[in-house]
Amino acid sequence: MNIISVNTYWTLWLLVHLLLAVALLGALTHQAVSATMPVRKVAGPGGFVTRFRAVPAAGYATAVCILWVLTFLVGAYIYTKYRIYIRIPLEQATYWKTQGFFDFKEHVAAVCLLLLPAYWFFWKNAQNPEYDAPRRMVTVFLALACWFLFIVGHVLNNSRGSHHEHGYGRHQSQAAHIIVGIFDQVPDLRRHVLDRRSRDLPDSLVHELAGLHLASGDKSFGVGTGGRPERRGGQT
Amino acid sequence: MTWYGWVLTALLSAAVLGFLATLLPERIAKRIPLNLVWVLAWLAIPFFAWDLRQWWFHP
Repeated sequence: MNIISVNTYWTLWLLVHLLLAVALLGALTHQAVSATMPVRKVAGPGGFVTRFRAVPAAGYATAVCILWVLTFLVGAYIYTKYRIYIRIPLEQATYWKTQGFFDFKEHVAAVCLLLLPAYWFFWKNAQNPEYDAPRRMVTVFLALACWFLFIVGHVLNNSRGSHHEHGYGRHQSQAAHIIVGIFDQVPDLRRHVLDRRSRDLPDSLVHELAGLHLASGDKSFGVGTGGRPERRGGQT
Repeated sequence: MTWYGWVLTALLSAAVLGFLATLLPERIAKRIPLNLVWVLAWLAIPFFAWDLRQWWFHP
């Protein structure tokens, strides 16, 4: 029973991963700021920063643990799709640093997963001053790691390309260019092939074919057998 | 298991080591600095960067 396409299915899981990550990022950032710069006394209404750090940090601990595990599990599930349909074309396209950053992301996420029991213990015993320093440092580590994982995941997701974000790779924002430049000058891999006619494909380079592979689920572009590109939208 | 090998191995090993650590007598456990929790995590970062050098320096 095909209710949704395969691409939609994986996109939904990716969105779930993203939403969980956003919730985790918010919780950890609040908690880390609150742990490093606690509000001792509020005289009158505080500003934005004061309110940002004046959260009951201990109350976030269980939620952070659950969110981290859920985000990790969903990430591990969609990794199976990434491993075949994204990583292989990235390797074929010789984007080594991009690949390295994703491996780095996996490693950091795993280390943080293993830190969670200690993190939870420190926060559940927040009244014990002996745990103040390690609790603060572990929380800051988790928060920084979460930001790293989030940014790397976002940039790597961009390497697959998206119509909404790139408009066939023609209108990448300046910010996206800067971030992509930092990581490995990862372009929307599809843009190499979107303007090609099928008769030109034999001349395509390996990385361009990899881009076509990434775009294989894209209904707006297909390789015709009669030498005429099949594309909606009428762009040439 | 091929794809999740590193993570699962670390998870299982850490679980076993963690369980064994709970069996340590308190007088020994008290001697282990708590700050090792975050110090080791930070030290793991440069190690990972070195371990993944094949990607950074790939020709």
